[in-house]
Parts: sequence; structure tokens; C-alpha cells
Amino acid sequence: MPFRGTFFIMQLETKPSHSEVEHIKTKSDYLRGTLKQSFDNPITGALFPDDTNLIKFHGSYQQTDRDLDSERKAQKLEPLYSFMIRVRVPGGVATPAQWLRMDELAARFANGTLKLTTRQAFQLHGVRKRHLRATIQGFNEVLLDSIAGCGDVNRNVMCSPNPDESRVHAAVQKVAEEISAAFTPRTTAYYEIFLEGQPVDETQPFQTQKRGGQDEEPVYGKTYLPRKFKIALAVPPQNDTDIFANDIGLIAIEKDGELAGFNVAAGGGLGMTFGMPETFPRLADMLGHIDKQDVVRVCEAIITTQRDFGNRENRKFSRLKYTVERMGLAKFKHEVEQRSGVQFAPALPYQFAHSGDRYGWTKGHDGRFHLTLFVEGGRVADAGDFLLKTALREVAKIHDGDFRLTGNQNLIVGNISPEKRPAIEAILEKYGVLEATFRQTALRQNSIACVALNTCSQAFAEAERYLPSLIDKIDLLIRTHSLEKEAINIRMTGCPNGCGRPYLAEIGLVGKSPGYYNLYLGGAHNGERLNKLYKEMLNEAAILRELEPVIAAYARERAEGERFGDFVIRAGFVKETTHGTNFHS
Amino acid sequence: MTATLPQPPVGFQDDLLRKLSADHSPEQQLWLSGFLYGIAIARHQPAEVRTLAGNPAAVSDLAPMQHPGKTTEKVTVLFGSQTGNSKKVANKVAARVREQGWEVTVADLNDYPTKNLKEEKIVLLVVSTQGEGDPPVSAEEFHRWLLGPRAPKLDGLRFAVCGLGDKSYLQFCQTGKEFDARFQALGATRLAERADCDVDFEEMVERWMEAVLSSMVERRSALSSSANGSAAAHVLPEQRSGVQAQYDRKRPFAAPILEKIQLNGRGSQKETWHLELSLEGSGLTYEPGDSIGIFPKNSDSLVEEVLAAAKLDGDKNLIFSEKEAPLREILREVELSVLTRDLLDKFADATKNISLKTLPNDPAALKRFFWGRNVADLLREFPANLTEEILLGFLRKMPPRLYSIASSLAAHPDEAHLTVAAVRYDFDRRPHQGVASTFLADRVLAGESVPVFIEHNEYFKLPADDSADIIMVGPGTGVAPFRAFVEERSERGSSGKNWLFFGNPHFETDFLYQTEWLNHLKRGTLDRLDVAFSRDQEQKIYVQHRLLERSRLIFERLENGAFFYVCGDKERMASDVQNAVLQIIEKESGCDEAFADEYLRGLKKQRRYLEDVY
Repeated sequence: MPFRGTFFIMQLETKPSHSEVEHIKTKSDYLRGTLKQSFDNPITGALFPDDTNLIKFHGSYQQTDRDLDSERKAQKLEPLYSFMIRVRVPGGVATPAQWLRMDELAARFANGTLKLTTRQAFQLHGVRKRHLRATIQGFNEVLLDSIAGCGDVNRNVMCSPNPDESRVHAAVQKVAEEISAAFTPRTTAYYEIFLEGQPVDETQPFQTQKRGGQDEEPVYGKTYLPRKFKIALAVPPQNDTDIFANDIGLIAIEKDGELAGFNVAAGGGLGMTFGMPETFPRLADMLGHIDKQDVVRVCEAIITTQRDFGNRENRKFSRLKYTVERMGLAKFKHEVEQRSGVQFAPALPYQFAHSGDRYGWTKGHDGRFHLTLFVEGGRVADAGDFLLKTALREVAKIHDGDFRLTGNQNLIVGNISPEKRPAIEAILEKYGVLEATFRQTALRQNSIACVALNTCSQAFAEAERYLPSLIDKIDLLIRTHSLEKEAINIRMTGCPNGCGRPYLAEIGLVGKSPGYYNLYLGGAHNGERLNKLYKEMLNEAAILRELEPVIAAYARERAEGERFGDFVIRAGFVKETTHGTNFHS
Repeated sequence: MTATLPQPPVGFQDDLLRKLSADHSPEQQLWLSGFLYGIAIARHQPAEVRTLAGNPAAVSDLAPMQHPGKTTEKVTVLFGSQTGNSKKVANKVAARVREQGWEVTVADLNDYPTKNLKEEKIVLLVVSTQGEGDPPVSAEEFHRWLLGPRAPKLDGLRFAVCGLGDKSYLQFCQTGKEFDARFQALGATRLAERADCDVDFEEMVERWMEAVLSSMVERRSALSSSANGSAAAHVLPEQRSGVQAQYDRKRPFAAPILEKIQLNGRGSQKETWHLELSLEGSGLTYEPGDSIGIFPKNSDSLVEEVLAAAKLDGDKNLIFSEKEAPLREILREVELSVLTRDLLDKFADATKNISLKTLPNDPAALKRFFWGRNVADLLREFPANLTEEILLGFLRKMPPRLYSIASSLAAHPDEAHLTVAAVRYDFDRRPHQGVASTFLADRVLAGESVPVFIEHNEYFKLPADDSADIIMVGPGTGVAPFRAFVEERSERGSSGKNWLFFGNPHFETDFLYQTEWLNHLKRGTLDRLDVAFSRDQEQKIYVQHRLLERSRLIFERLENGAFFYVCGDKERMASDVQNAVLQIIEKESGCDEAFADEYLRGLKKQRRYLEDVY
């Protein structure tokens, strides 16, 4: 093995031309900055400005309640600052004890709800600065962490959460955990800032590494990556982790019922900026096939290539996708092979059928049951009469399996033993949770909405708070045309950055300004094709007006088994997007 | 109460005659007739003519008067003042006495050497009462000494006491009463009955002064009648002079509300209003530390409650305070939301209500009875056969409410800002309200006007020396004057350091003027800001805890001449803060408790430890 990633580490000095964030990282002393002083400052709910960049690496964003910004300004109060904390759950698999703790922390320190994210993480919203430490300590006790939840590092590693298919799933989940551990930052800052004085479970590898060790980042270096980095794994035929939207997408290839290796795709990423056509969503390019034992080494090579070649001057062009575009795929692939010492074999055949979740009960090879539930917008809350959070808490109290967060903001109550199934089913019946999953149109069941207003600072328009009521109205069209059973991916985000993966939706709605959205059509149902802008700046009436004839045509003219996203291209509503570079044309 | 007057000769001031006859006993009226006769005689003795200093109106209206003659007796006017009212009255009394030819010394009890007292011949004492019957800080020492065993016999002393107070407090004018009784017990002779003045003190002070002066004059006349041919003395009711500010307590200015903002964020248990009033064109000015007086109106609902409880007709026209209006209108402008002992006594007398006798008599129990109750509650609990006249007979005109001004004129020319906590609570399962705070919160809108006057606070002022450091402790709405202080020092470019301690229940919703403080900190016009949000953690943290945490620096600054200010709740906060300061002094000086007491007493005497508490 002549080439190891660490061999190539260049401790780059930050150049004057580098972006502000690069300078902040450089002088942060491995992500410490003045975070401690920020927490100890009682006269503001905010951090010092530089620290707002650093805290992302520890899994948290400083936000304000945007509903109240102007009102509070008039009241001579600062904005209502609070923190979103993104808790990593590699592959989305959590224990009942972890679920119960998150449920409790949400009530005690956050806004009372849990958000299941599009990247299989838990999000807490509305945590006050003075409660950040207690909250993080709270989930640390059940062996969850938020380090690298956000920031210019590898984030939560996604993995197909369906445990029922085969032993391959279990093996792939293990690989996901290995990748997650390998690329977790090594700095002791997280421990020092948030967990000082906490009793730590010595059996937990992450924490034991954090104690008293020297600070060094063998993979990242002290300036970390130029931008966020995302890895996802999928087991065909399910692409429920939308692997092509990731910097690295790993497609599990099975042989004789066992995991053999991965097809590796790289350079995916969905964010773009309105008015800058040189920014665009892009799907990952296929590099080829590798053996399963090489997967961490290859990921490391891709990460260090991005570390050393990525743009650190303009964060709008810092993602790996632009690095690949700039280097050219061949040169990029060669660099990765050089660094990893692994040659890519030609990709092996695979087939993705869909990128959504399959609801209801399934039975695994070991006789245990799995139940996939629809969680609208990923929001676990007690809202009005629908006590979803309470129901799941009661399930967690008796459950002996696990909870699996899907990449579509839904939840699998996994590995239910046959003995527990009746009791769990009874709880879910009692609270109407099963009915809430099954009475929905397939359109709604395949919906995703990012958080957007009122907490996300990026949002131009509503998403999670608005999409359900918009779907009520689109559902009328759907029912009129008897399309209730047709799974159509519909995704709404409040801004063009792509957290809800709107450019992979069959119906994508991206917020431009309050009440107005761009409408995108023609994404592939299985996540293998980007969509295309259909109409700009639509309000609700215009969205419905524009969708009505398309839906009617689909109902009338679709071929057997033809997906909505494919139909709109065939019918000429939009041109096909074949690559990120022609997304805008 | 208006007596029918015979038709006066042309040229008389009807009001003046009415006043003279209404406000005086028959004996006084007889004396006045003699006095006026004396004046008429005196006109023919031009050699004796003098003018009334500072009272040009009187000179033009009334003829010059005879000088009543010199006397060797000296008069000492003593005052114990918290807000400056007693000082104001004392100076007025002194001026009046001096006009009569006496040699007058005015002294603050704070600085008055106790050993001088037994040498005094005539002492006129003006003193206010604080909160639950305490003397003002400046009079504490003198009070302790006089009421204690070391006080001397005062056989040769003649005295009179004028107490200032607020009838809404139980121990109304308590300090004045104590001084009055003690002087007598020590053998001194009373010149005139003590005056117990309510917040509207001017008229009663006038009457007291007249009584005191006439008694002094009688005495002097007896002593010096051989030396002076005139048998007449003169005392005149004070005339309003034209040089005073155009607007005052008697004639409040209708100040338009420029802005009205609720300062508490959503979800707060508190309701604090920031009001910006325009003083434009009023000629009114103030300094940081001064207060603004507001005349509120009762809510319609309280008026209707009272009418219902009294079973009276709100439409009936009546005369109250020299104005004729329907009872309902009148009730809007009388005190209904607070009970006082005075009101209770008058109510009992007027209604011969025996069950009122069952009420407790000791102050603490009475205070508990008053707590939360308003006039409607009283009428419901003690039903009486009332007439409109009886009802108005035991109610008093709405007294103004004072609020510390929250702005600096230098920062906001022609404006005065207020920080007002709306008082709302349930009593006997009925909603109750503080009259002025809810008047400002609910019953006037931005664009409308409220009747105001300026109440100067003599002592609660910024240091004259701009380089002196200040430490301000202002939790809750107690922060109001400190907003004015910091604005003023900021405008002046004062080099002294400004340090604020603020507290309230919750950081997110109750951090009054947060963005302004953050700006001041950024600009350096606030040096430090320490905050205590009591309900944001399990154990309650208050400003006094924060003071103790900053013990060293506080002591250093005090040693360096810093001024220490406390504003806000009197009952608990002010004494907790004072205890904290005592602890700090003890700890940081390394001396004992007695030293700390002495140190703090020194600060108070130097007026470097100042309170504006309520």
C-alpha cells in the first residue's frame, strides 16, 4: 500500500484570498475559538460572531425565531436566539433508550418536538444558549453525539435503514458506522467545551479518544475541509438515501446474499444560488467498483483530494462537485486512485427502483417485524389531537428492537419481536398513528419538507409549516384524477440550498420569497435524474393552476407503470436534465 | 362644604374670600379680621413699609405692610427629606418666617449636629415618612438619637412638626408623628398642631405655616409689644407667583404620547410598557433621577363595580372638587383602587357601620386587609345605605402617581420616557388593576395625551463630578432612572464608569432595554452589565447575588469614590441589596460588621448610597 491519504497532508497556511470562514477555522485552535466565553456571556443569547461558524462543526447552528425578529426589535430586545442541534445517528439506527432521551431533551430544552432529518439525524430546535451544554451532555449519556453534525467535515453517514431485506443490510450498516468513526474529527474541543466534568462511558470509542489526547487531525488538518461533505450508502433496489445527491455515494453490490463491494459515485450535491447559473445541483459521477475492504481508504482519498483541491476562496464553489468539474472526472479519479492505492474496476450492474419509503409491516429473515410510519415533514410532535410524540414515547418504553430514521424523514420501528408486536400495535392504534400513515395519498406519503421558517436563517419562504396544507389542495386534484395510489415525490424547500433535495423530486418547489416558489418537474422517481425549472415565482393559486393540467394529462396519458417524473419529459412539459451542467438550460 | 358668602364689595377676589372663610375655624376668622384691620392701619405708617420678597403679586394686590419688628429669637427649620419634597417645604417655611423678621437657619437632619438641639428656641421640623413608617435615610440617625435614651430635656424649646406622607400607606406620616410626640415628651412646647400631609401637600402646608406663624407672632407680640407699636401680625395665604413654571401638579400638562411599546417578549408573565411622552411647548424640564407625575383615570369597569356595590345612580349630577358632573364621571377621577385607613375611618363614620369594628386594628393586620382590596370590594363586604353625597364624602380626589423618568433630555430633547409595569391581579375571583399602570397600558393610546407634571428628586441625582464611577442596581422597572443616567452620561461624555446590575424573571422575555444596553456596552458608555434572571434556573438568582459575586470590584470602586444607586422594590430588594453591600464591605475591608455599618452610614451621609425605592 504505497499511498496513504495522510501522506499527502499539506498543512496549508490560510491565504489572504481565502474566505472569512477559512481564517476563522485557522485561528480556532481545532474548533475551540472563544466558544467557552460565548457560553459564559449572560447578556446575549448569541455567540460571538466567529463562534457562530465554529459551533457548526460541533453540530449546531445559531438561529433566531424569525417570526419574532421585527417585533422584538421594536421591543428593544435582541432577536430570540436559539440553537438547532443536529444529533448524528449513523445509518439512522437508534435504540429505544436513545429515543426516550431525545424525547425528554426535546421537551426539557428544545421546542418540545423532534425533527427527523433528510439525512437520518435528529434535530432539536429552539435550544437556548444556556441549555446547550446540558442538552449535549444529555444525549452524550446515551452515546449520541453532535460533533460534525454540521460544518466543513464529513457529516452524518447515511445508510439504507431497511433491516428486513437480507444480511447485506446489516453488513452495509456496519460499513456506514466504520466510515462515520473514521471521519469523525479528532479534536478534543468538543469534549472540552461541552462535556467537561461529565462521567463518560469508557466503552464508547469516541469519548475515550477524546480524553486528554493531543489535538491532531490526520485526515482533515487544522483547516478541515473547504465545505460540508456528505456520504451515503444504499442497497439496491432502494435508493432511499438518495446517494447521487452526496459527495460520495456508495452502492452496495451483493454476491450470493453477502456484501461484496461498492460502486462508488462522487461529486454530488444539490445546493445552488438563485441568479448564479454557475452554481447548480449536480448528481454524483460513477467512479467504478471497489472491494468492501477498500471502502474507508477510498473515501479518505476522496476526502483528502477535496481537502487539497477544493476552492477555499469562494464558499459558493467549494463543494466537491465543483472540484470534480474543475479537475475533470478522469484527473479526479486518477488522483483518488493515487492517494488510495486502489484501482477502480468498472461499475457492476445495479438497479434502483425508487427513492422513497415503503410503509407498513414487513417481516425480516430472523422473524422480527418492522413497521415503517409516515412522519409528515419529519416532525415528531404532539399537535392538536394527534399525539405522535406521546405514542412513540410509549412504544419506546416497551420496545426491544430499534428505531430507524429514514432519509425521507420517516420512521421505522424496527426489529419488533413477535411477542411485543400486539402491544406496540395497540399503542399506535390508540393514538391513530397507523391510520395517519395509511389514510394518506401516495403523493403525501412521498413528500419532504425542510424546516425553513421560522428558524432557518437561509429560508426565503415557508416549507415544513406550509407544505401539508398545500398538499391538501393538490390532493383534491389527485383524487379528482384517481391518482391516490400513484407515488409521486413532492419536495419543498424554503431556499435553493437543497436540504430537502428538491431538485431530485418529481414535483419540486423551491422558495423564492414569502408565498412564492419556483416549480421544478421531471426528477426521476428513483433519484437518478435531476428535474428542470418549469415555472417561476408561483403563489399557491398559480401552483395549483400550473399543476392541474399536468396531473390531468398524467392521469389520462400515462403508460403502464410510467412514473410522473418520466411522463412530464415524454409529454414535453420539461426538457430532460442529463447532467448538473445542463440543469439551467 | 361651601358657605354662602355675603355679596362682597366690588374689587374683592371672590375666591380669596371663599378660601379664607372656608379653610379657617371661627377663631381663625376672628383673628384674621383683626389682622386685616392692622394692615389697614399700617398703611398710614410709610416708614415701616417693606415688600414681600418673591411675591410681587401680593405687593400689587395688597398694600405694603408694616415690619413687625425684630426679635432676638432664632428659628431653626429642620428637614428630613428623601425625594426633596421636605427640603422644598422647609425652604418655603424658612423664607416665610424670615419675611417676618426672624433670623432663620435651615438644616438638613443629615448634617445637623444633635448637640445643638438643646440650645434651640424654636424648631420647625418638616419630615417625610418612607414606606412602612420609616424615616428618610437622611433623618435616620437623628431619629434614632432623639427617640433614644440620650435625647436631652427640651424644656426651653418651642416646636412644630409638619409630616409629609402618602395616605395609601398604612403608617401614614409615622415619622412626623413620632417626632411630634417625642418633642412633647421631652418637655418642648407645641407651637401648632402637627400637619399630616398627603401627597397633595401644598394646601395643608399652607395652613400649618399660618398656624405656626400666628402662634409665633402672638408669642412675640406678647414679648415685645412695648418695643413695637403694632399689635397686628400678618400671615397671608400664599399667592401663586407668575415666575413659576407654567405647568405643575396643580396645572398638569397634557403630554401627547409619542410611542407606546410593550417591552416584554411573548410568553412573559410580566407586562412592562415603555412610553415616550412629548413635553414640547410645556417649558417643563427635568434631570435624570426626577420623576413624572401622572393623573390617571379609573377604568369604566371599576366605576361600574363601585356604582353597583353602592347601589347608586351614575347619572346623577353632583358637585365634587368645585366641578359639577354626573357621579359616573366624578368616580373616574377619585381614588378607588387603593384603601387607606383614612378612607376606612371616614367610611365607618359616615355609614355608622358596626361590622367595620370587627376589622383588625393593628397595622400589620390592617395591611393584610387592605391588600388587594379596592373600594368596590369594601362596599360589597360592608354593605351600607349610601347616598351619592356620603360616597363622595369618604373618597378623595385621585392623587397622581409618580414614575421615575427613564430618559435624558440631552438624548431626547422635549421628551420624557416612562417604564411602567402594568399591575393586574385577581382578588376575590375578580380582576383587579393598578390604576395608573393600566391607565397607561390600556386606557390611553399613542397620539392621545396624559396629564403630567415634573416632580424633582433632590438627591437621586448623578454625581456632579463626571469622572466619578457609578454603580446602579435596578431590577425590573427599577432600571428606568438608570436608562436616563446612562443616556445622560453618554451625551455628556462623562469619563466615570457606569456599571449596571439588572434583574427580572426571564432573560428571553424580560431583559428591559436589552438592545440599548448592548449598544452602550459596545460604545463603552456602559462599562459593565451584570444580570440576574431569577427564573431561568432551579434556584432563584437575584441582583444581590450578582453583587456578591463582584464583591472585590464593587468595594474597589466604592473606595475610589463611586456612587451607588438602588431603584425598585422597597419591600425586599432594597434591603437585600443593602445587606449584600454590607457583606461586601465587611469581606473586602477585612473588618467587622460594625465597621461595615459605619462605612455604609458614611456613604449615605455623603449621599453616595442613594435609593429611589417604592
